[in-house]
Amino acid sequence: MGIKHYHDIGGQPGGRAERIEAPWLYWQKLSEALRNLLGDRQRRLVSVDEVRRVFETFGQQKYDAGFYERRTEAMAALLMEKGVLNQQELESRMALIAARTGVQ
Amino acid sequence: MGDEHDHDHAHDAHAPDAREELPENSRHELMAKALRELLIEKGLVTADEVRAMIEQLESPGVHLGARIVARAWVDADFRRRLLTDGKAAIMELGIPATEAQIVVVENAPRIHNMIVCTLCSCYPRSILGQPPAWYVSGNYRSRAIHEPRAVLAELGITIPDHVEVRVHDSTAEMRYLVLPMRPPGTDQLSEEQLAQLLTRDSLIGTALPLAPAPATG
Repeated sequence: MGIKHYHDIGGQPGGRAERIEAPWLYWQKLSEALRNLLGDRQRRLVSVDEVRRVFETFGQQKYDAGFYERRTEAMAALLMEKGVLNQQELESRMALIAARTGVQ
Repeated sequence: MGDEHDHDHAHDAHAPDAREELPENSRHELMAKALRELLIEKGLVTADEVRAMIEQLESPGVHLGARIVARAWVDADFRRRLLTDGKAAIMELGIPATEAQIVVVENAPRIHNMIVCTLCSCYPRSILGQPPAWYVSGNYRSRAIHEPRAVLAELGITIPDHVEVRVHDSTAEMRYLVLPMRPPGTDQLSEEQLAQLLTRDSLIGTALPLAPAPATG
């Protein structure tokens, strides 16, 4: 038996399944759209498999932040890993947008 | 990391599934917006491409899955092809399935199929659009394979004991679509009317098709 990783939850106990329909938010669509574009034939910069590899290894806390949260975080990490952008650049742009839009 | 599930918190069966149901997280909202701006500035994507891709992501939906199943209900040859090679049959209808493989699993009087992805959240997106929140939730992913009847009951359908429940665990390469049984009393319905009976959840196996509206007049 190998060691089960934190994403491998099939067969574990869990709470009730609730038929909750959450709206699909703009930033979630944006994140998916960017990943799709970065992974297309023309760019081949960030694949779904790479995104999974990152969120399945970057620790349970970030993983548990949520479906779109972990995918966004993993995409950003990959872009840094590949030298497309750096952490400081990303953080300062986030702060700029927060100031501009009033998002906390 | 590395220890096998010996985290010190107990799994509370009644705890809300906090993992996936956090409110909108402004940090990640900001991150996605910042990534968009930076990637545009660096010339890796254009604003138009992003807009077009969002529209493309929004366009699939249950209507595509419903069209596929309604066709299978009225066309036995198509149904056979659909069960043999799901992707090829779906492409016949002009639906651009991007999944590597789509396996269509057919319900029968003694077989009920349901779909899950325990490892991540694989889903036939090019047919049904984005997965619903409960499908990507830890509760559904963890329990669907070992207590499917309980999960189905919580989601609102009770499967009688004499019906076998088959749970299909998706992978990145293989996505599933459920072909529900055609409800009784639908002989007179057109293909378009049949499609109206199919909900997204009936194509995942967590609901049954709607009953036809009673005839009037």
